[in-house]
Amino acid sequence: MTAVLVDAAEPLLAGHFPGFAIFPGVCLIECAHRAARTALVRYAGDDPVELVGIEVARFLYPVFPGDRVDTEVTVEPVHRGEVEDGWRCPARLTVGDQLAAIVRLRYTYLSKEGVGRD
Amino acid sequence: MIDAAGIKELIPHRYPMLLVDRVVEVVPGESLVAVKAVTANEPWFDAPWYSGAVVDVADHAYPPVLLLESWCQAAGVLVSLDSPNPDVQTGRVTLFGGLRDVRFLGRARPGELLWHRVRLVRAVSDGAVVEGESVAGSGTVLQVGRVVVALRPAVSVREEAVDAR
Repeated sequence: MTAVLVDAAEPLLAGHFPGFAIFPGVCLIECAHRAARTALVRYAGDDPVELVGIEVARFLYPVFPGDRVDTEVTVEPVHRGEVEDGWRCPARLTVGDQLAAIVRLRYTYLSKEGVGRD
Repeated sequence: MIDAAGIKELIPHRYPMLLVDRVVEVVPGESLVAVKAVTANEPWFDAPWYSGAVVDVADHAYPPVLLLESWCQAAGVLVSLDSPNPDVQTGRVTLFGGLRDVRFLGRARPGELLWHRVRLVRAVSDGAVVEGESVAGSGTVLQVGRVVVALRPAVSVREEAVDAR
């Protein structure tokens, strides 16, 4: 579980959008990504993991400056047959009692050839 | 071709969140190809909150969520062609409804051009369903299975938010 306060002074809000600041949906995905990465340390240790996909994201409620976004993430190991194939990380992002977004991210170990081995 | 000035007449995004530079090919109501140049001068490569242990930018790889945002802005141009939306205060807010099956196949780095290909799957009331991919110097870096773009009046979004709080 992580918390991010959307600071009204955050520079990117000036351009998203002029006169109507709204926290970008992709930034909610980024919140989930960071929470997931922190959670994955326990599973992957020091081995770097890479975000290889977003299985699903649904945005249910807009997030504005001053809001605190709480992210709750879980880690599910993924197997392809007998082979371990990274993790799936479902996340729920809330502002107060409101569900702002649900996101399901997909990770694998960082490969030498770059992301997307399969 | 639609240049940066033309893009600003179609979508409301501005610095530092205007992530599409040029539209090179467009078939209204159908498809579009847009270009974004990745540069080391973009704020995310230097922001304190992006430094440190973040693997994705350790080698100046473009942050994956911003790659997706850039692609989605190209989609926003396609969707806004016949109803320009340069100012959110008088126009509409482009919101993500949702997405599925997005895959990051590679990373783009400063000096590379991202070629975003967007195809309209179908128009829905107040928005559209789109799909496509992004190609960089290293090959395809992004596949987008499905994104739902929603266009909603800023006034209604704001009122809804106030009511909910």
